Amino acid sequence: MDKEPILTKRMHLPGSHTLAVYESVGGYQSLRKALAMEPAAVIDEVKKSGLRGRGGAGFPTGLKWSFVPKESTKPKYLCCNADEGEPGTFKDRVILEKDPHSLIEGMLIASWAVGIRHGYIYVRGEFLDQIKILQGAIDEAYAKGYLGKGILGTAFDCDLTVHRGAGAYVCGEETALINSIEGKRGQPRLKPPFPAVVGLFGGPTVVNNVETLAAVPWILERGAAAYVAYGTEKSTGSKLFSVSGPVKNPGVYEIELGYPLMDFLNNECGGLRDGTILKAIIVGGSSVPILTAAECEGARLDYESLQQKGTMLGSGGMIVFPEGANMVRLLTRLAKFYAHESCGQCTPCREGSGFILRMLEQIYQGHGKLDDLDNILRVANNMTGNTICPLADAMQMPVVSWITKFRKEFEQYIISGQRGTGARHG
Amino acid sequence: MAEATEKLIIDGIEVEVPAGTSILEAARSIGIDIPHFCYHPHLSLAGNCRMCLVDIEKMPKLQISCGTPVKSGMVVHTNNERVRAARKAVLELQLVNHPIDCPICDQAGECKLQDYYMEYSLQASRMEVPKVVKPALVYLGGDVVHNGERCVTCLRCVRFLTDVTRTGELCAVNRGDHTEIDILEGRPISNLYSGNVVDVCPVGAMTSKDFRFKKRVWYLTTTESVCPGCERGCNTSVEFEQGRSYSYEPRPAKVFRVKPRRNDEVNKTWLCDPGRFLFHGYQAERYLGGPLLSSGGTAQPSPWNEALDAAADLLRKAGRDLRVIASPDLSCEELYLLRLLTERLGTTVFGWHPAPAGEWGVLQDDLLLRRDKHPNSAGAELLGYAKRDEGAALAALPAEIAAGRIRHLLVVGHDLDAHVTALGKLETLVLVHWNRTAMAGAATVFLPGAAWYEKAGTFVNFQGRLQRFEACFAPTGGKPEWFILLELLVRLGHDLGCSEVPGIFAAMAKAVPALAGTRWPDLPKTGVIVSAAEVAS
Repeated sequence: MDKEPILTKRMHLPGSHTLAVYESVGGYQSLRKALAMEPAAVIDEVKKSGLRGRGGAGFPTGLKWSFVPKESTKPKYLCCNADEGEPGTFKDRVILEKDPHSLIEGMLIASWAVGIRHGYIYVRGEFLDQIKILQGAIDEAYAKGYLGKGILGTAFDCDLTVHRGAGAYVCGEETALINSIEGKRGQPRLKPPFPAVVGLFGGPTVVNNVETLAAVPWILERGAAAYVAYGTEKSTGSKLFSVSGPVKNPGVYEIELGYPLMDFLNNECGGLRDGTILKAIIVGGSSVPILTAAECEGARLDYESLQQKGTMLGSGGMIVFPEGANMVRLLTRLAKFYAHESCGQCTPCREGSGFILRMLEQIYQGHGKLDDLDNILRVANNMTGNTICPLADAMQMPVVSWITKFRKEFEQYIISGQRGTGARHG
Repeated sequence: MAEATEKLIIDGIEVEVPAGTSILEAARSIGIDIPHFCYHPHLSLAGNCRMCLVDIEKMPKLQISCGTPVKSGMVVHTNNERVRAARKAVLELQLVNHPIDCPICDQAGECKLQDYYMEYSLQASRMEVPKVVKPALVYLGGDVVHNGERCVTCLRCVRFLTDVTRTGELCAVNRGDHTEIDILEGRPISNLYSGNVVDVCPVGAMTSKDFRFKKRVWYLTTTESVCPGCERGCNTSVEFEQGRSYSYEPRPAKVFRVKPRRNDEVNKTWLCDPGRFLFHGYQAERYLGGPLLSSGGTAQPSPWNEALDAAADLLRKAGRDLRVIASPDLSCEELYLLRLLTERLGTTVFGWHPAPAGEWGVLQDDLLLRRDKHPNSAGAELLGYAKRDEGAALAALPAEIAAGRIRHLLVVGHDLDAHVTALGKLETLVLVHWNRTAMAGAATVFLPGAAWYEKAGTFVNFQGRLQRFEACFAPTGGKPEWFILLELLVRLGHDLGCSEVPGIFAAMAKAVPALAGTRWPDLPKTGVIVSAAEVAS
C-alpha cells in the first residue's frame, strides 16, 4: 500500500504485542480522546468514517452501534468475533498475535460509545498461542488501569473476558457465538429479535469482527476524514487480505480498498510461482463464488466492484489456484467442510449439505454420472435463502460457482472414469 | 380497552387478528393450514423445519409463517408456485436420509411427513448415494421409544422437556445430518409427562412404548372424552377399535390409547402419564358379566329386569333406613339421579369416596396433576353433596354396621373392599360398580356398571368448568350407572320421561340453579364455567 498503513503499522516492531511498545507509538491515546468526547459523538465519527464490518457481511459499523437502545434495563454487551474459521482466512490471527492492544483499545472505545461495561472476545479454540498473547495483553491493560474500574481516572468501568471457542465454524455467526458464550449449543438464533435488542444473556449486544474493532483507534486518532481518504467512495479505508496458494509471497497484506486484484497479486504477492499459470481465485474466503482467471482481470478489491463481478469481498481470505488444480477434488473437500460444520438446525442446510457432499464424493471416487451435476446444482439452489443463518448460502455459493464455471472439467472427470483415491479426498 | 388488531390479506381473504399473531395462526383462523413440523402452539419458537415458508409481497425472500408476526397491509400467499416449490424442496431434503419404512412404522396414517409428501411432493427419489445411518431403536425412558432415522430434527421433543416439564432430559447431539436426539448417559426421561414427547413428535421418530405395534391407527375411532384421573379434567381423545367379527369370531370393542385434546384453559395440549394409561386398569379389571342376585349365600346370574326389580324392592322396603354411599367419580347426571333417589326414599347420603391412598393419591404438581384424584368433586358439591372430607365417616362404617345402626346400604361406584367383613352383616347391600370387587360377594344385588369411556356425561373440574364427555361404545355385560339409577327411579315411581343422558341433563339443568340455561347440545368443546369459585384443594 502506498499510503501509511492503518492496521499493520506497528506489526513490524519487535515486541509489538506488548503494552510498552504499543504505548511508545501513541497507544491508548485514542481512548483518552474518546473518553473526553460524548458517546454519541464517537458513534458519529465512526459512522462518518464509513467503516464496514470486516468479518464478511460488510455492514456499516457505526450504524450497528446506533441500533443499540440507549436506555436499557438490562446490561449491554460487546462481543468481539475472533472465531476466524473460514477456510483461507487468517487475517484476524495476525492482529491477535502482533497487535492485541489495538483490539483492546478499539473495544474500549466501542464500549464507551455504546454504553457497555463488559466485553467478550470469542476466540477460535485452535488459536492457543494467540489466546495466550491476547490474555497477556489484557492482563497488562488491567495492570495499567486501561481496563477495570475508573479507566484513565474517569467514571468509565469496563471489563474484558476471553472466551475460547470449542471448534465450531458456525459459532462465527453472531447469534451462535452468543449462544456459545452463554454455554448453550452453538447454533444460530431465529431473528428477529436481533442481538442489538436481545443478545448475550438477554441484553442488547454488539458483535464486531477483530479487524473492524482494531481499525477504530486509528479513526478516532486521525478523524473520519482521514479514513475516508483511503479506499473508494462506498468502500472506505483499508482491509487485510490473507493470501494462500502458489504465489511467491503468501501472507497477510493490508491494502487500500479498491486496489486492482491483479496488481495486488503481481506486486504485493510477487506474482505466481515460476512455471504456474493462474486458473482461479477465491477472493473473500471459501464461501464466496470463485473467479476464473479471465474474470480476475479488471477486478478491484472493494465491496461494490466484487459484487459486480458476482462475488464478494467477504473476509479477505484469498486462495489462488494454479492451472492443473483438480477442481473436483478441491470442491469435494470444501463441501466436506460445510457439511461437517452445518449446525443441523434447518432442514435445507442439514440435509442438503450432506446430500451434496455424498454426491460429490461419488463423482470424485469415479462413480458419478453426468446427471449428478444438475442434481447437485438443484439441491444447492434449494438450500439457499431458506435458512436461519447464511451457512447454507456459504455452501451453495462455492458449489454453484465452481460447477458452473468449471463444468467442462467436472464432466470430463466423470466421462474419463477417473478415480480419486481415499475417502478423505483432502 | 379493545385489543390492537392488524388487518392483512392471506390468499385473497382479508383477516383481522390481534397484533403479534403469527401468519401461521392467522391463516389457521380462516381455515388455511400451512404445513409445518417444528411449530407447536404451546412450545417456544424454533423456526428450523422451514416447511411453513410463505410468500409475502414486497419481501424478497420467503418467510417462515410461524415466526413472522402479522402486519397491517401485508399480502401473503401461502400456496403460490414459489411456496409450493420451496415446500417440495424441503420435503425432498427431509426424506434424503429417511428410511421410508412406513409399512413398519407405527406413525403411518398420522404422520406429517407422510401426509405432506402426499399433498405437496409426490416426487420420486433422486437419492442415489448412501443414507446416513443412525440408531433406529433406542428406549429413551418413560413411554418413549426413539428411531433416529425417521427424525426430522424439529426439536419439539427437546423443547417440550425444556419449556414445559423443565426436566431437560433430551438434547440434540452432533451436527449437520448426523444430528441426533439423545439423553445423557444414564439419565433417561423420567417425568410423569413422557407420553407427550410421543404426541409432539410429528413423525415416527418417537413412538409410544405402550401403544407401538398394537394397532394400525386407521382402525381406531376417536371419541372426545375427559380424563377421570383427577379434578383437573384434562380433555382427551379416547381411541378405540369398534367391536367387529372376523370369521364369525366376535372381537369386542377395545380402547387402545388416550391422547390429550387441546383445551388452552385446562390442559393446553398435554396429559400426564398416569391419566393417559388409566384406561388399562379399567380394561383389565372390568367385569364383563351381567347382574348377580344373592340367593342362599351364593351369587346367581340374573337378567337385568329381574335384578332391577329386586333392587328396587329392596330399596323401597329399606325406605328411610337406607344409607347411600356415593362417589365423586360419578358424572353430574348420575349424582343428580342419585340425589333424586335419596329424596324419593326420604333418606340421606351417608358418605363417599375418600381420596385414594398411596403414592398416586398424593401426587400433584404445578403443571396438571391435582391432589384430588376424583374428576367430579366440584360437580358433587354443586349438586348439594356434603363436603368431601367424609373419609372419617366411612372409617366409622364397620362400627355403625356392627352396632346395627346401618342395616341397608346402597353403594354406587365406590370400592369398600376394606370393609368386606362388616358388609357381610348388612341385611341389604345393593351394589353398583364397574368392577366385580370382593364386596360383590356380600351384595344382595350386584348391578354391574360401566367404565368411564363406556358412558356419556359431564364433570365439573376444579375451575368450576362443566365439561362433557362421550361414550366410546356400549359396555359388555354392565350398564351405565345413569341407566341403572334411571331404571330404579322409574320402579320407585319417579319417571323423568327420558332415556338418554341429554334428557337427564336437561332435567338437571332445570333443577340446579348454577346450570340454568345450559343445554347438552350447546355445551362448548372447551367446557363452560358454571361455578365461579375454584374449589380449594
